[in-house]
Amino acid sequence: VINFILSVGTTILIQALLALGMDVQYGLAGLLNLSYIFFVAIGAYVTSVFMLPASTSVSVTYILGLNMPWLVGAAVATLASCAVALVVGAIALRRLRSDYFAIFTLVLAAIALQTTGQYQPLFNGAQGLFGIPAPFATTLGVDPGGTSYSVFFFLLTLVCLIVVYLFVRLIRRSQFGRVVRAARDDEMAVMAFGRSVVSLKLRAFVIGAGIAGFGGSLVATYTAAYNPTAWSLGETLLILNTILVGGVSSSRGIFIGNVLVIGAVQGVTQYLPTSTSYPYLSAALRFIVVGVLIIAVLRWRPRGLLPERFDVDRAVAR
Amino acid sequence: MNLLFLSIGFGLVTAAIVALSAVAVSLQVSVNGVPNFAHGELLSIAAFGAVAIQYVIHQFWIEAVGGLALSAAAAWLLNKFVLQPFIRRGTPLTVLLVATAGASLVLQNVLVIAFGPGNQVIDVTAGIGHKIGPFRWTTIDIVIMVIAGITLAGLHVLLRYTNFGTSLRAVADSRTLAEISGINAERVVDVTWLIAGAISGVAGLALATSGGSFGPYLGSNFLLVTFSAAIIGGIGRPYGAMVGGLIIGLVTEVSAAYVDASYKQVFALALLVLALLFRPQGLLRTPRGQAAAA
Repeated sequence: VINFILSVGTTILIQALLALGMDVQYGLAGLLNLSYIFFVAIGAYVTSVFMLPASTSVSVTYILGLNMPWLVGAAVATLASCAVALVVGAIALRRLRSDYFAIFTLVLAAIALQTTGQYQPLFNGAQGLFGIPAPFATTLGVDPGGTSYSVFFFLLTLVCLIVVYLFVRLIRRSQFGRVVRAARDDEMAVMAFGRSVVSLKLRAFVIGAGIAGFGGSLVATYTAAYNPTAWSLGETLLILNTILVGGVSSSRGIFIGNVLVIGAVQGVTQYLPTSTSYPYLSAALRFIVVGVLIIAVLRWRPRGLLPERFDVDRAVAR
Repeated sequence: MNLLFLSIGFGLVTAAIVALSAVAVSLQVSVNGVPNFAHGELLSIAAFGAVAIQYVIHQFWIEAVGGLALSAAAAWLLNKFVLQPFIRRGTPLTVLLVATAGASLVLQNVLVIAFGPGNQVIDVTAGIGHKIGPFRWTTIDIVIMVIAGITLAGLHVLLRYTNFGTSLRAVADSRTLAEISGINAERVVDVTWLIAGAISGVAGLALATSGGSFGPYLGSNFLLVTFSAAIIGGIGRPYGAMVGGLIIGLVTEVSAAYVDASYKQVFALALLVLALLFRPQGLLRTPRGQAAAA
């Protein structure tokens, strides 16, 4: 039982961290990035190839294999996601139309997924990477499979989540955060003040992608294996769902959203009778629940459980 | 040279299917202003509807008509019960997109549960190969191209020469102005979705029969090339979508003949990038400017 609680808890923390990054894009900047999980994947793959030793098997091929510690991998993963986001954003945001942006990211995610699955030399194709080392396991000298390490990893993700939470809070309260939010609500007004909406949204997009990449370094090391099934479009929508349930642009709401949605999804799949003749059933049901929940929440509770607060009065009073 | 013509031949078949699918998307966008991410599932629904009927009556034309009716009905329901409630409330575009993506996820996985993740086959004989000029097509290929041609020509007549077509273009330009001049905009939107659903169904059946076997991700996998074609043609413009479909179909198939075929969709992405960078208003610029797309 303790292991089950730890595993669900760790999953919730990681998903909440990912949701915070996506919310910088969706909530703060109003960008619907349907390739969000692609940036998580970049982080996961980069971390993995930095931490894994060079491949010794002929059937398993991937680039690099540097045998580096997790911190290095996570740092490079964050930067790599940011760099890719800079290029993608510069193209996708060119026309500042939210529908073009969403379509472009959707197409990008699907094609990146297919190509990664087919192109073996990069990240071992559809089989993906496995045996990804556990962070700090050798430094601490504990068995990565044991309960004590699970506790350690839970605490590690908790620390990461708090750091990201504080970082996002800093951005929200900064001048940049206020202008981006203004650009989300009224592009014309912000342009009239001489600010470039494209550059503002691009910055928010890159920051969100950085958080995705950092989160990816936790995802990969937590599951110890990473392959294309882990980053289908449905996963992006699952993250978006937790944001919508909790409250767009509200960090605390997003945390609650993750506890509810991820807790429910994990809990239900755990106790669902598994049938060997229908192995795909639980995954399909999970996505149906996510889809129905998305539409229902948007329809009847569009601002989520804990809506974004508008501190207008306080700001004026100061 | 032979290889080139052979791949152009395949390209024309793919182009016919992409054009149908992209035109259907553009019709939806023209009246609602919302790209529908559940569009791919309309294609799948037609194909799986045909498979379901096949269990009962083994007669291709009955299966095809049943599939078309199902996808038209699904499109109508999607608009009526998922999109319209949001549009009536004045929901922002981004939120609408999320709602259609959610609908796509639901429909796709309902298909997975109903039919399983494995492959299905609609029984049709591909027919013998025909050599026409430098091209080589099977009977099915030719039927697909002819039906696509008839469908698109029919749509052209409908849009240009009927009262309904005039109303549709009026609603696409400005729903408010159309309503002021006495057009029942809601009915126009409903009928447009029925038509778009049926055209999606034609595309879905064509895709399912030309590919041999297909799984529940038939339509969603095809969504990429569809949207690429629609954007290249200028989204919301049915005629641009036809041109976009032709370009995407030819480029992906010809590239597949020379580069590894599993990367042909990357070329669709590359075209999309080029289009967004250099011609975001679409290839065909109408004199009326941005009004139709906005």
